[in-house]
Amino acid sequence: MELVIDRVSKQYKNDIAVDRISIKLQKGVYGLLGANGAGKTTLIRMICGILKPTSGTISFDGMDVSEENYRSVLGYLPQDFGYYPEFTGLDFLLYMAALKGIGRTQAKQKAKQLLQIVSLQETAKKKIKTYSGGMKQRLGIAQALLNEPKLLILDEPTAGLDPKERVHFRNLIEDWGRDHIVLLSTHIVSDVEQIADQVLLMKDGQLIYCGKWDGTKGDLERFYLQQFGGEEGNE
Amino acid sequence: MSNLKMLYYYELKKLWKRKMIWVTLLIFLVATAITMLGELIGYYYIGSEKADTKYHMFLVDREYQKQLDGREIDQSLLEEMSDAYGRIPMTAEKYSLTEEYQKYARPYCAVFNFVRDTTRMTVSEMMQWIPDLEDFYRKRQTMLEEDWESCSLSDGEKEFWRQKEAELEVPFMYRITESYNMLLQGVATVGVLVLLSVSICLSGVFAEEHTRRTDQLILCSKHGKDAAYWAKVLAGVSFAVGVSFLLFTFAAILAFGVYGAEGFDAAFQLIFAKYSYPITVGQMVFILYGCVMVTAVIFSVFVMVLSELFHSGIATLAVTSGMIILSMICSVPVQYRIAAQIWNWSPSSFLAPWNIFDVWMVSVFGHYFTAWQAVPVIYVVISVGIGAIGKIVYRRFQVSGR
Repeated sequence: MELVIDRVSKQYKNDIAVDRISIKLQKGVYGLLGANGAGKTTLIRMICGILKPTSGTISFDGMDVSEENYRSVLGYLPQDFGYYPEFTGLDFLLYMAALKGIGRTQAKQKAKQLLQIVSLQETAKKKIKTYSGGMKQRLGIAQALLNEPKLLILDEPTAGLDPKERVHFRNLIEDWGRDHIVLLSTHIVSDVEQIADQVLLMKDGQLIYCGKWDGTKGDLERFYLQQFGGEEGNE
Repeated sequence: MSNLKMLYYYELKKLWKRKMIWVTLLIFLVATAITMLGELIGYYYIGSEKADTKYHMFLVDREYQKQLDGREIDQSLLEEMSDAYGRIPMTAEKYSLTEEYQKYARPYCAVFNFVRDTTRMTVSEMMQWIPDLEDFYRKRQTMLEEDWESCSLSDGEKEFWRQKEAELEVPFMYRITESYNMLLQGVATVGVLVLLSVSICLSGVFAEEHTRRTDQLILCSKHGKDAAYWAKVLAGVSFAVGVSFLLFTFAAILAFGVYGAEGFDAAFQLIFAKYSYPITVGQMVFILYGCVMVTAVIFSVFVMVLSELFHSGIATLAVTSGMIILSMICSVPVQYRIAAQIWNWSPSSFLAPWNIFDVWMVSVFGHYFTAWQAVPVIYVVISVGIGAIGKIVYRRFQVSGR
């Protein structure tokens, strides 16, 4: 199981959002840190196949990012998660399951199971427009896990979650990362410290750090702040 | 395939969950009712004089029409009509207000109007006309030839229509066809309502995925770039077909319920004199059904693809409703035959009796096809083409910015 990002760049006119990033990701949880505008979301969108790189290639176990097979192993929670206000939580998951190519019976089972995992089973038949921010976020996490993705990409997944939910979510990701690739983009250094096996640090479109982070290297948050001149703090 | 069915189901659900759709349909059903029943509401004026209520006039005329129903419009009926109208004093300023008209002529009013429409004689010419069946058909032929000439028909087209005219069963038999006439006249309004509802309800189909930011979830999923697109298009097309069926059926129910359904096998020429194709008014109903539906289909595909292209429901609505309004206020002079034919047969203009039953034709390898035969086929082909272009636009979309 390997995600290969090979010399990937994204350029908008004179602005380079992602600059020749090369990396291979294997099983585990990867924490992608970076300030606003560092290029995290652009890189994630390219990995999800919804934004074409200006140059470079992305593949998972030999499948190119543009292939349907690639998308069938992908789970994605975008930063700005969109939903259908008139749909119920269950409807939304069943619709997403159909998009992901999951059969009807299996989809129902999976949706119910995930609704339970994200503690939404009691509000499953309520319209999403009545959900709180945290509930919507949990629904977003559930949809990302529907197809049991080998490659799970989460962009700011803990935004809107309360401390209890955040702990629950960390455990969930940690479990998932044992057998799959999880790429977690966030501002929150503590989230990365606690669950990420490896840290990826982006600045000005470039990967400035990639590797394990342990106590011997000092405090991750301090390192992070040093890199960004103290302009970004922990939330 | 089962996923496409599921996606189709959820796309329909997205549509039906929108309140705007229900409000639009409700308003347009009321508008359809007003269109079909408007002829019976209020007073009929001759000059500034209130003659009668429209509804009472309808009831009286209907009784007279029943007396004529099933009679051939032959020499004897023409003479009866002429005698009856001959009793109206020539000095009368408004002939329809005279007692003689009400007593003698009005029972033949339907035949009088049919002869007028068929020969294009004025009222005074009709009053002075000595009824003659042969002269009647001669005048009809002259009227048709003049019409074909003014429409710049080719020799082949003229010959086609002459042959069709020769196939008509004559003498025409008078039948009560009021409901079919109402339906034919109402199709232009019902057509506009169908296109407007398609424009209002489908302009957000693709655009809203972008504004809601659900596009990124869809596009990164397994079926997000293929099946999801076709499911949306199919749902939109189904909606368009459903709305056209609903509004036209509602119009038909009102027309048949109020004006009566008799006369199904009457000649179409009784209500549309200048058309020579041998069809019945019953067949006309099915032709109208088909034309309304297929026009709704092409328009729906166009609206949805525009919605994907603009990423804005408002912009799509503005452009497509603007096109509908433009077709109502603009026309291309018939001298510019090709441009006028394209304009009249374009989706926003086509749904009018004079365009569906147009004398202009399409020639394919020497075979001539009428508007109602050719346009649906052309629309289906173009719809597939537009749909395919839309697919390319959809697949090429890149989630950036925000």
